[in-house]
Amino acid sequence: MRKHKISDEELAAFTLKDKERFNELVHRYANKIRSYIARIIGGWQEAEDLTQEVFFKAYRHIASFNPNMKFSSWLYRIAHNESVNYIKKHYRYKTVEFDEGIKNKFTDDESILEKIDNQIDSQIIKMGLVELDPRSREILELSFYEEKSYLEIADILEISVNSVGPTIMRAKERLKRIIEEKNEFRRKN
Amino acid sequence: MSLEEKISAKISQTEPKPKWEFVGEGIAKDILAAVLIIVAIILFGIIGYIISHFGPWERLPGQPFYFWHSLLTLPWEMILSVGVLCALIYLIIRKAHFLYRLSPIIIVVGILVILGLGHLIAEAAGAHETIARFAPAKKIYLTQGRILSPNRGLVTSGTVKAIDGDDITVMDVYGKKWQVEINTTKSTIGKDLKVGDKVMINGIKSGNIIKAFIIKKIPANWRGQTRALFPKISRRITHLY
Repeated sequence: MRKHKISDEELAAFTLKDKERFNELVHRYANKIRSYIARIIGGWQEAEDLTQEVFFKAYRHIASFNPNMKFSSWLYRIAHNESVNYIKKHYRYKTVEFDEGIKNKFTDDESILEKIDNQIDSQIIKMGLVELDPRSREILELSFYEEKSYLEIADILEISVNSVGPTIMRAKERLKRIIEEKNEFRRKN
Repeated sequence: MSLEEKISAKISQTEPKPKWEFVGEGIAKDILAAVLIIVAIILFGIIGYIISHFGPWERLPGQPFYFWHSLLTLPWEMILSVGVLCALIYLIIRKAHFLYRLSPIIIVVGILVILGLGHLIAEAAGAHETIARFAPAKKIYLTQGRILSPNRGLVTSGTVKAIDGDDITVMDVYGKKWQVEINTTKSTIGKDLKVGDKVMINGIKSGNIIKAFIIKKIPANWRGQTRALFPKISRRITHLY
């Protein structure tokens, strides 16, 4: 008999009665959240610290979780807010600076290259993603790396569902422009 | 220590906040939004009432750019207040009940529709007539309506038929006679009038008596009596006095 896997939403609902249920959620999402934050803010150690903060806030506010949205969307929203606050605090006057390890993680997955049209050079993509503004990078992250649906992205970023598609298109256009400039630079040199 | 262990250690030192805190917060936000919507409906209604009763679009014959001049007499403070309230309402309700999933335009249109419906319901119920009886509200209506602004709110126009001290008799184009009371000791209006002059009068109407704020002679090239934009609902604010 197959064991019924308890859904994230059920675990969240049970957490108020049994704290241990939340540990299962931590087990399921800790690494994903850390990777997500690391790709946004560019630092692994900082991402780990922020991940702890994300789960701490999620635990404290677990009673506010609305089952009309997915738990992962709610958790990613907290991670998004923490990342944005971190960037505002630390990078107000300069662009995000990425650890080399984080840059490499951008193109570990070959399927990502296929999804972002016509990309053949992973180095160029890496540089392009690093140079993108955090907002564009984040939406490409959610769409292509995390493979979130438009509704989930809308819930995470608290934007309208209709604006997700155009926002992704604009982010891709910006990335393509950066990549084309880099390709041009390489050709000339 | 692994990341999971660090997180577990951190959360073991605390407890989740109780549900009632979030339920209370949600209810408080809903109540705040409802109160702001009601205030916005009242202000929106006052603006509609003032525009329909004070007639900012009435023509000012002989005045260049009369339309732009009439724009100056709109209740801009109230319009700005309604705009600020709409922005606050939008910000409060957007995050509640997943409304952010909708396009912002739909949310804004929804707010304006609610304000418009609220205004119509208030008008039908005679809310403004009741509100205007209270002294502070009366003052707001009069101040926002710019009643004391010259050239504002034409009451009537016609030909001077008789002059008797501070009272003059004016016959309008429909043949109705008006007794116009002016206080020439307090102003210079009406002092240079004579029988046969065509005049425009701004003031307070009661029956066929007008307490004039201002009387102006109509230029010879004026084409005829103007009508208010909404003649059927263009009642003068006699009940405010």
